[in-house]
Amino acid sequence: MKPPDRLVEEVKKARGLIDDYLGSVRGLYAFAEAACFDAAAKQRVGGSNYSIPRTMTLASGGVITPDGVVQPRANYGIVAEMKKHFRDGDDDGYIDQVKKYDQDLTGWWTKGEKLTPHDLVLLTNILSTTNATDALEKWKKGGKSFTRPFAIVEYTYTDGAQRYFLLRRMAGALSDRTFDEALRRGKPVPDSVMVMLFAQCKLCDAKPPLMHMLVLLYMETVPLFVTEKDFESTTGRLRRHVTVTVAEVRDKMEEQFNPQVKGTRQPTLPKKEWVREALDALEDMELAKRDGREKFHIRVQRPPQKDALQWLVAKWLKAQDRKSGAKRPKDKAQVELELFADQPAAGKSKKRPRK
Amino acid sequence: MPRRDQRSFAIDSMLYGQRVPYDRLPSVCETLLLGDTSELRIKLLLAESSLVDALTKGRYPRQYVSSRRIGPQQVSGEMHLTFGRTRRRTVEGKFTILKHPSYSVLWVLVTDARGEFLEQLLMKGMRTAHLSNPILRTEQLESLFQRFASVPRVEDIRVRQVGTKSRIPSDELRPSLETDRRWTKKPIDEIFELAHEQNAWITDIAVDYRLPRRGMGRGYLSVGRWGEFRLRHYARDAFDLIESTCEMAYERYHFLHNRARTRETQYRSRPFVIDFTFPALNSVDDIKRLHGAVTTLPNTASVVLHGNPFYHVAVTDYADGSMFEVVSFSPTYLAVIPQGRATVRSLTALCSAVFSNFREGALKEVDEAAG
Repeated sequence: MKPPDRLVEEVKKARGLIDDYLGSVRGLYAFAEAACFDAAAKQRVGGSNYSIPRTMTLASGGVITPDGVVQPRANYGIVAEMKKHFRDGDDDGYIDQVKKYDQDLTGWWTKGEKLTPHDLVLLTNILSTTNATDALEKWKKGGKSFTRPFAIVEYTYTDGAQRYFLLRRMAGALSDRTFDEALRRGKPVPDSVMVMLFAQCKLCDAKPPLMHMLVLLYMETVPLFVTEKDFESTTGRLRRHVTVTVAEVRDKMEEQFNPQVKGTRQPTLPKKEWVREALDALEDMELAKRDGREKFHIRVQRPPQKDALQWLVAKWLKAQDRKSGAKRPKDKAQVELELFADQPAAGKSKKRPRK
Repeated sequence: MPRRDQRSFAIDSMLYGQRVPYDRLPSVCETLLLGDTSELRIKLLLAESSLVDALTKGRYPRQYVSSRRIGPQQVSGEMHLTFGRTRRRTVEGKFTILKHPSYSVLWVLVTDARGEFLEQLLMKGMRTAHLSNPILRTEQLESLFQRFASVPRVEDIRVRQVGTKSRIPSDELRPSLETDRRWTKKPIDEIFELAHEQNAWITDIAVDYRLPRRGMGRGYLSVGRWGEFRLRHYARDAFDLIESTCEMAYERYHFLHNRARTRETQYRSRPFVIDFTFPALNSVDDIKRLHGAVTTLPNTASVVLHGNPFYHVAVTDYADGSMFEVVSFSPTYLAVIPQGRATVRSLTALCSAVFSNFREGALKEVDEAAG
């Protein structure tokens, strides 16, 4: 049965947004892993560290949270900012964002947490590299410059005999000549690293799309609150219920999807407000019931469709329509059901209206 | 000809009614087959918890299966079931299940019942026992028969029947597979060579073989890819092959065990790959077919996160709450990434779905396949 066009468009949009977000997350982690990899020894550089994101302290005492902070060696660091899409004519505000990191920062993995100087990197998708370099040129023409080495690094998947995640430096230069040259030529990220990135890296400092949170929460986290035995003892489409708090769900998501070593400079991911928003959406979608401010009773059920994303989007659209009071044509499936709902039984005639 | 009740008495007293130490099973089966039992069927089962408890204490359809504990390692039972909507059929028979002494999760089911008895017993009678099936790839079947052929007391192995599956070139999303069954007298090597040439995979193979110590006697052995065996005339020599299969099944279990992201693994999952050894995922059509195979998993829902140029899907199995992601980084292999819970049963079901409906592949660690 062909789903209605609005649903098709929304599912496509949701899938695109999730893919975009995950691409950004993987780009950050791939860059960090590539920077910390010793190509000669074919292993991670001993003592290297990175954090996606990391809270750093400014000389003024304020704090700032770059998307990624990487320290491949004791005396070398890189601050990375991710901007997946630069649209044509995008202003150079994102270059200004990176400029904010062009100062002494405290929070490195050193005694005293200081490391001077460090490099700056702007990561962007291959489709946006030209716009990003144009934005950089425009920014420089405004009389601005970086005091530290700065580079624009693009990332993409290549599709040859093997699929690689590829990083390439497109503008500027980094102070680590070996790493810079490898990036200039295009540095593939090996499959074993990509598997790790796909396995666990689902979140970064940027707020994820709601559907991404719903998929992570409903499909990959909430089932963990139901024991294996409870699943096995109920079959088919029988529904199970779990009672959870926002904090419990947040903690479970962090242990599953944020693989980094915890510390005071490590922002917790996901943020509690993202989880709350997703749980509120589940309530609107009639998949959860709130019990006070922090507790939710969630209905754990197998989606009736194989494509769970389509089901979640359909429920979310219905919830939006309910909230806005909008009268929209119903899903085809529902219309068909209603057409046959009140059919008289064979052989019996409909009751005539009373005069 | 002995009366039917006399034949039943023999198998009841030797197999179903008494405790059979596992090492005596080959001789018990041989005695029965040399007597009046025409065929014995053996099925390997993988279960992490005790099948004795599951069948004697657990929740299961008691109305058509009754079981009796013979010991901590053995349970016997019988099933009487009428099923079918348009065409009613009845299956009835007895079975015994023994725990393998060397492989703690492996159980061996033996029955003399014919027809659909075994299929119905597993589907309906033991559904709540949450079993997994071992699955043997064509390469593994070939290796089993090569080992069997090298046994000195077994000679002149001839193929009687072989079942195969191969792909029909098609643009449809659902896998287009052709099932073939041939009655043949070709030697074993030729059968496997032909399967390789035709890019087919073998689902079951039946052979007969000569045992010089038995004079002109020939044994009959059939092996199915889901770890099922049929024995006729003789059993003892076939048990070498059955034991090799037990070893393979246990290795597969061990490979898939403990891969989820849990506190015990410090929240790091252990992904693995299904290596097809050739570019099986070269085009969008291949990926569509793969997705068709993944969606055949029962009681699951999936979210396709990426379809082109690489395939990435997140699957939740509502049978036990397992979750895993499937990604194609390379045209030659598929990465399976277990998430917060990933049981052996669920991962085995995924591998079976891919092997049966897309292509067979070897299970390997990521570093092994990526090189």
